[in-house]
Amino acid sequence: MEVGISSTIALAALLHDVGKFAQYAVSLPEGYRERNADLYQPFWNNRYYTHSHALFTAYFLESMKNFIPEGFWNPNASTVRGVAPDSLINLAAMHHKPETPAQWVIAEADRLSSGSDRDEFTEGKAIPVSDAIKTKLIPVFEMLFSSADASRDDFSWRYQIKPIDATTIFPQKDSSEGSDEDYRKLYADFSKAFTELAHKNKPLLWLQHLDSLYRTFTSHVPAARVGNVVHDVSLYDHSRTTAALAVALYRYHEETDTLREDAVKDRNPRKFLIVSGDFYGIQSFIFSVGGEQRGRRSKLLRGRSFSVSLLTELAAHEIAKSLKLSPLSVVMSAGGKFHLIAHNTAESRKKIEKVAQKLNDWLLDVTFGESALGITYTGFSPADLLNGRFESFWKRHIEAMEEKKFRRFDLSKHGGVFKDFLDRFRNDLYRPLCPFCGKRPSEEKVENDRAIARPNERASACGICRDHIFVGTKIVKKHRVAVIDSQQGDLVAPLFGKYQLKFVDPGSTSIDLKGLNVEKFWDVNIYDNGTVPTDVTFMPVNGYVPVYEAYDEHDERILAGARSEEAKLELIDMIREGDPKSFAHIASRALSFGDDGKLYGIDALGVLKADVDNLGAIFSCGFRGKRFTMSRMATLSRVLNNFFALYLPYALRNEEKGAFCDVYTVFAGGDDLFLIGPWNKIRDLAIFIVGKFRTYVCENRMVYISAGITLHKPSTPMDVIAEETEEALGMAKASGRNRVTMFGHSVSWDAFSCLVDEVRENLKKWLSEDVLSRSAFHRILKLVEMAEIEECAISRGKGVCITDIECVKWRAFLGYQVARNAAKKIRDKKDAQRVQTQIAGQLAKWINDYRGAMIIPFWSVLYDTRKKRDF
Amino acid sequence: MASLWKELWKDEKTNLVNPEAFSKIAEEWAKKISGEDQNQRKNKTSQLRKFYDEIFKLNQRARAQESNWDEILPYVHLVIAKAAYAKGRGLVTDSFVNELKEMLSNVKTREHLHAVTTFLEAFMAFYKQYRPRD
Repeated sequence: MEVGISSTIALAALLHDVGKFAQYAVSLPEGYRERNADLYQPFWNNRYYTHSHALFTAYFLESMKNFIPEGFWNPNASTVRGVAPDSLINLAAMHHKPETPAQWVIAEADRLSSGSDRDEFTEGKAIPVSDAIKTKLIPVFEMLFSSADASRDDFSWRYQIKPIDATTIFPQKDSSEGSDEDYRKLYADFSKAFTELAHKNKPLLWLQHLDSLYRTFTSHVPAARVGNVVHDVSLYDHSRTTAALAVALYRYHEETDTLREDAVKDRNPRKFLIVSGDFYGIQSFIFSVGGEQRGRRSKLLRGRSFSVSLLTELAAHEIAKSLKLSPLSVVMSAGGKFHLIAHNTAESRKKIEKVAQKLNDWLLDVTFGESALGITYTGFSPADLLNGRFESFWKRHIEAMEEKKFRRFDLSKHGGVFKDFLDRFRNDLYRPLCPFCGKRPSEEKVENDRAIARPNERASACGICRDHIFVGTKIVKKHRVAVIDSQQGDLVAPLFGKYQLKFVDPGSTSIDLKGLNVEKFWDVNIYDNGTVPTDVTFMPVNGYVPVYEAYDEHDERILAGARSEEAKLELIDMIREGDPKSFAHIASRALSFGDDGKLYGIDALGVLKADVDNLGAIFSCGFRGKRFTMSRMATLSRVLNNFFALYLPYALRNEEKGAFCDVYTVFAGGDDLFLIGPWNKIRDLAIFIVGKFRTYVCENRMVYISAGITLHKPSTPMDVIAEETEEALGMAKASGRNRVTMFGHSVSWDAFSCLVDEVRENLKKWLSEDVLSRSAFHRILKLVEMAEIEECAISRGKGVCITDIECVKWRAFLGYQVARNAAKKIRDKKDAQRVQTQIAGQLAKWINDYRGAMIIPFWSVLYDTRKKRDF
Repeated sequence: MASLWKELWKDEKTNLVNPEAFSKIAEEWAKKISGEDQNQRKNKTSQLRKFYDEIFKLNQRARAQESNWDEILPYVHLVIAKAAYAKGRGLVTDSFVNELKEMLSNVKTREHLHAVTTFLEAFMAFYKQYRPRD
């Protein structure tokens, strides 16, 4: 595979500041500084050399020469004016002393990127150069909505100078300083991993792996560390923005034939385009049902969710490729959206339109208009990145994206009926209409395919659904996937009609890829211990999926209930080690064995949908003026995504001693999540997630989550589940946000936590000690309803009308119910009365405080302690 | 304690009741009445329930369609006389009778009676908490 000049520029720009990271960790060989300082370092005021990190960048690249694909040293486009064949080191290291136009491109991109990020504290002490090493990165979340005149001391959270993993992505309230030791350890691990990067024989793939590695190791290293600078931009985000800008700038000057120093430095022309993609109709893509999905729903959902991520990434990739940009040109990509930086020429705009048309034609063909990709682009000049001008530009662009949503398709081209739709059906197939999506015709080539049918079983599907089930099964077992621009691969219906997939064993890179045009090679999972893969591109899109293990065959919970023998046998038959667990199995994990050896509880699924509230406002108002920069937008998007895509899968597997290990991720990324698990685990998980998220966002009160939790039988159709859970989330948002809805009631997170922990525990204790009976619970629940009505009446502000007077009696009835039914077994009258008074008082207080939401702990206890029929 | 009748209403003219009357005030009254006789011979639940039952039935009649309020109202006032009789026999305390009298003598409409009945229902429920073993 040939390396284009775009990729060389991208690599040089990505690593231009690697010296900032290396300078505290390595010593230069004797004489190196003397021989090279003049080449890379500016000589200040005829007194001394500055910017010594540039020297270390050169040294790093030299010392790693054998581990960087050869193509980058001799790019095929080296004949382009200004780029010498041996220029990689010079491109990267001469950014403070540029001499050729191509070096100026990187120097200018660096200035635009850092100039746009650089804001200064107006108060407090400046950091002297000698203390640069001590500076730690301020989390972007602490910066959000902070005052422009805040001083450094007002920010108390910091990231540790460590590679990112499931634990280090959490900021700490930390006043300790960075040290040589931190940098030495970080650098040693980075250089070792650098030498072990896979696919050196496929340079563009290698470049993506390096980007991933660089992200892992430099996301917590501050890009700027001295003076009054606001040190909240990481080295990675600065470098990545520099790379994207440099490639676009180079392509602009190359295409307009203006690759000259003066033209590169001119900041007025609109040289750039921000190109954004938005995948519309994710919900209907993931949750479409066709009636029969028995036992394969968890695989289907996994496959579809993965496909959404894949299609979004590939759409960005297609655009970047068609414009001869680099994979590093995509600056943000999460949650079905991407943003990339391109060059603003008539040619590139034409190409973007063409690619968008092609991608949408395919999507329209397979989803019949339910899903589409909105591609929006807006031009901007280098000057728009500086002096606080980016904010208004970005808002204009986002408005254009919003507007695009209302014009998903070209109606003049796609309006009307789908031609030949009915002719595509084959009535000789077992099920002519695909039973998994209920939309597309089944296809002969997948009839009785192993992915959809068990041995000796007939089954039909369309190619797309067959692929989703296949991918859903494979991705859980294999963890690694290669995306190939080829007709050979494991899919029946290649993505966008051209991209195939090949699955690779966990930890392996050794699949036979010879002769194949491999565009991506991802590891989609975090390792069990929370660290991230470093040899290939880490793309955390798989979430966590509970799989069958050997002990599941002996878990009798699945046999509980009034199922027929046939159904039981089918459930047992589904247990295959390593396969994703079915929803019936997941639901059965809500049951527990009592002291009497019998089963208690209900085998229901809990479904949790949650997202970050006011995300639009966080992005558009969280940073103002000079702090509103592209790097910060990218950081915010990336760190938010990290919580859901990187931490959450780890948490489900490991946190709270594996309490959440039966929870299935439908999707988790961007700013939202959709999880399915045993209903009682989902309830506890919601509290856990919110607690962790608070720490993750540095307890910033402006950043919070709303969630909806619903309960379902495992056989409930997926679209019904999705709709009801969406409604529950909508209710939480409508009642004020930063809330959770369960059993149809929305409460604040603090209230939910109290209801689920303190209140539920007490109710459980009273029930187990026979102080209150189940029937008393049901009677008190009626009073809870009355209390809810009373509150509604009072909240109208006019008092309670005589027609609603029934509801005001709940307190009195509570006293009566408790006096009649509680503590019946306590013989001593005084003791009994004391207990009754205590219970009545406590319940009255809770009902008064929480009103209708009291059904959350009551139903939780009633469901958890319901005796399961014998099995 | 202020007049129970006044406590019942947030706005008597528009029939808006004071929710607190049916919780806090009903409970306070239940606590007070239940503890008035140290020997617990007076104000027994069964005695108080008699008055409540009678008022409850009158309220039921008043709420039935086509009932004649003018025929019902005298019976409401009759309950005051019955309470005075019970006091004479030493079955209930002065304060109970006085408060009951004050409330019932103010009843002019069906809505008034409904509010008083509801209040007494709440009072009786709390009473069970304070005199559980009567």
